[in-house]
This record gives sequence, C-alpha cells and structure tokens, in this order.
Amino acid sequence: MHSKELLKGTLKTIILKLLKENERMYGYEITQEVKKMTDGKIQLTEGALYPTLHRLEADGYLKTETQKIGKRIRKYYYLTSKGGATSGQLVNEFYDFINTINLLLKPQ
Amino acid sequence: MNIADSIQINYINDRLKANRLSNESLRNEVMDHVICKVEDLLVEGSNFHDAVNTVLEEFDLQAIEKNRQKLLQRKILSRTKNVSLAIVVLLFTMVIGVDAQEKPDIHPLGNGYKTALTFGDHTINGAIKKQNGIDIIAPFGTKVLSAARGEVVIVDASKDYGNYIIVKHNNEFSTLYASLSEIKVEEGAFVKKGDNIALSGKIGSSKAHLHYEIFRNNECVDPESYLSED
Repeated sequence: MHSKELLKGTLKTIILKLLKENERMYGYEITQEVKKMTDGKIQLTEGALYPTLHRLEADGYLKTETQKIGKRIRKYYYLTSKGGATSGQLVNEFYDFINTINLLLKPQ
Repeated sequence: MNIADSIQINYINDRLKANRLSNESLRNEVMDHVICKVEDLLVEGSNFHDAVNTVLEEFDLQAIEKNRQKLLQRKILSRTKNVSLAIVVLLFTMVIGVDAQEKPDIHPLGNGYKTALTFGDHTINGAIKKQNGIDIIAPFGTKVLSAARGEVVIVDASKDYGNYIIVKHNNEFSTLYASLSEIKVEEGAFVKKGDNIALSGKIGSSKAHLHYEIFRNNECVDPESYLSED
C-alpha cells in the first residue's frame, strides 16, 4: 500500500480522471475501481474521499444526482464541462510532475 | 447480496446518527457506502450485526466530518479574493479563538417566551423520552438570534429537527436551533452574539416553537441554566 502522504495531492486528479472515463460513479464504486486498477496498492479512505468529492462539487467541477436503490439513496457524481476540461489538464500536469521527479530520483 | 430490509437500513442509520454524523445528505451517502461494504461481508458469509460492527469499526466517521469542515472552510477563504477582506476574516477568526470563553448566554428569541418542554427525561404516552434541549413556544416567523458569536457549521434538515442550524462558538460550546421556517445564514458564515440567523417555525403538525440545544464539550446541557436572568 502506498502512503497517505504521497496520495494527498493526487486524489483530485484520480477522481476527475475516473469520472471522465466512467461518466457517473458513486463513492464506494470509486474506491473499488481504484483498488482494482492498482491491485490494491491504493485504497482510498472514506475520510479523504468524501470531503474531496464535496469540495470538487462546491468548486463546480462535479455535479450530483441521486437515485433510489431499493430502500436507500445513492448519490452519483459526474463531471461538469469545467470538470471535464480540468481532468485532462491535471493528468498532463501530473505526468509532467512524475517526469520531473524522475530527473531528481533516478540513479546518476 | 442486497440489503432490502428497511429494519436493517434503519439500524445502520441509527448507528451513524449515534456516531454524530449529523448532516443528513452526508449520512445518506455514507450509509450507501457502509451498506455496500456490509453486503460484501454478507456475501463472504458474515452475519448482519458482525458485518455492521466490522465496517463501522474501520470507518473513520470523525475524519469525514472534520476534513469536510476543513475543506469547506478553505473554500470560503479562497473565495475571499480581496486581500483586505481576507485579513478582516482572519482577524475575526483570531478574535474568536482568543475569546474562547464567550458562553451562549442570551435567549435565542430575546426574552419573554415560555419554555413548553424542559430539558431531560419526559414520560410521553408511557415511554420515557429524553429531551436534549428545550422547546420554546413562539409565533411562526419569530426572529432567532445566535446565542454567542461563532461559526455556522451545519445548515441542514431532518425528520426530527425540521430545518436546523448548528453554531460552533468555541471548542467548548456549540448551539443548535431547530424547527426553523427560514434560515438566514450559510454554512461557514461567522455570526455575532444576537445576530438574526433564522426564523422559527414548526415541525409537521406540532405547535409553532423553537427547539434549542446547547452542547458543552459535545454533551447536551440544560439551556435554561445558561439563559440570562434579565
């Protein structure tokens, strides 16, 4: 498992990227998808995920819709056009960042 | 495996409420998440109560509330683009921090209103019901005042409380105002003692009233012992 500290700045990028590819997702689905895609190396905690989702919504990157599933309510998140545009931009920025860190960390 | 049983869903809802997850829409969302996890454990052969206990044990509910408040607060500051305004907000926050002793000691409706239901245990239709606060009889639309300066941390609605607000005054005191017909502040707003934060109303078919609670160190205390005499 990767450390929380390393993950901290990437959560926003991960969420926006997943939603770009999946149209709409709910919280638990996001945690499961991340777990599956990373072979369990990244496990998002609820304590980090939901506040970030709510912040992204408040900032206009995401919108939500609710749906009744049996007797409970499920909240789905999807990208606004602003969220869609930001998603690609953040992914590119992050690749750039990885390359830069690579310059620093690769053995000379 | 699906949990379709409303008794089980209510049970999980009550457990979340007991964990002080007060915001209803957040609770619904967390509940869906908890139920998904519980269902996974049921598939693996666990029984319902063990599954709920396991999931809630590893679920950091406090972190969700805490991080959420922190993130939303940061948003308010980042919106304050004007630097001088940001400084005012900062100074105001510092003043609140320094004056940590301000108690919620004014009557939330001004004085002269009658308390219909007092704090503590009441026998209603033979069952003992605990009153976490007091009900104050007031005409629909009476101005509700913040009992001390502080930050509006929750604006929400629920079945039991109707529309309600929680104001955090300092690390020791918070106050809750429920059964509101209109809310005049937003989450994250800073209010002064005596500011008009809402109008009173009623819940369902109840008589018009304001429901008022004071939390001291996260415990409900009798509001009447804090109301001014004059």
